[in-house]
Amino acid sequence: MMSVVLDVAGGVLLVVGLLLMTIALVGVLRMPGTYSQLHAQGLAAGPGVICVLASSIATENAATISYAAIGIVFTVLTSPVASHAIARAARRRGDETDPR
Amino acid sequence: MIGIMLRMIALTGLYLLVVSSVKVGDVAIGLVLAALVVAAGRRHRAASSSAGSTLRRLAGVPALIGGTLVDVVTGSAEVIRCCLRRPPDPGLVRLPTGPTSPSSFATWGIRLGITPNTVVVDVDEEHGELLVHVLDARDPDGVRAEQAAAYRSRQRRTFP
Repeated sequence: MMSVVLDVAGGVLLVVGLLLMTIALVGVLRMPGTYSQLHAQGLAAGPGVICVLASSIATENAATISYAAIGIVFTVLTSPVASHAIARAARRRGDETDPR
Repeated sequence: MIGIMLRMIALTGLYLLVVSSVKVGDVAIGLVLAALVVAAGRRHRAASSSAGSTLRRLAGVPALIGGTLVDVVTGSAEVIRCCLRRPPDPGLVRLPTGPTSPSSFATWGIRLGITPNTVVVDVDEEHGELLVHVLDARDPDGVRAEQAAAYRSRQRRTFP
């Protein structure tokens, strides 16, 4: 029973993660300007990756799940830094809009 | 003392996750490595906090993690809407954080950065200000009020 629940949860997380990444790709192509595109890539690099990694619960393998957990922790810590670095570079380059 | 023990437990846990093992030998090695890292880190730390304040800060961790998760879900929904249509009025907003500690500033940055509907563009620690890009900047005062409320309810207790 538990195995079925984990399989379903893992499958749902995988589908949600891939869906988020696909929508993010559409967003990167459609959104105007570097900053707006960063929002779209943040969807893939944050929640998208976390969902795909969390889907590892379906494997029921302790080693795989623990590596995925480490991956999630490092994604949470590094994804904002990467976005910030790109945004800061864009601002220094002189990209768009005055602050409000 | 509680802070030191918690740091050692967290670091040992991270080590055990990396080696994917809970054998006694691995736990012992993890504890030794954690003790070395904590001891090395203490040399660079400023005045330590009291046990009471550590417990008070720990009590705020569930609100910080839970609140940030809620922000990530609602922020993702907003970004999905904007990806499939056009963003209403994207723009930069100055977000005053007030005079805070470096760890509080870093938490502000990670909390806003992991939420897809906000991107931290610049950080001004001297004036206590973040420059943030949002997808709907029609009401900058509303954005500032919303973020100040999120800080009060999620972060202030743990990273004031």
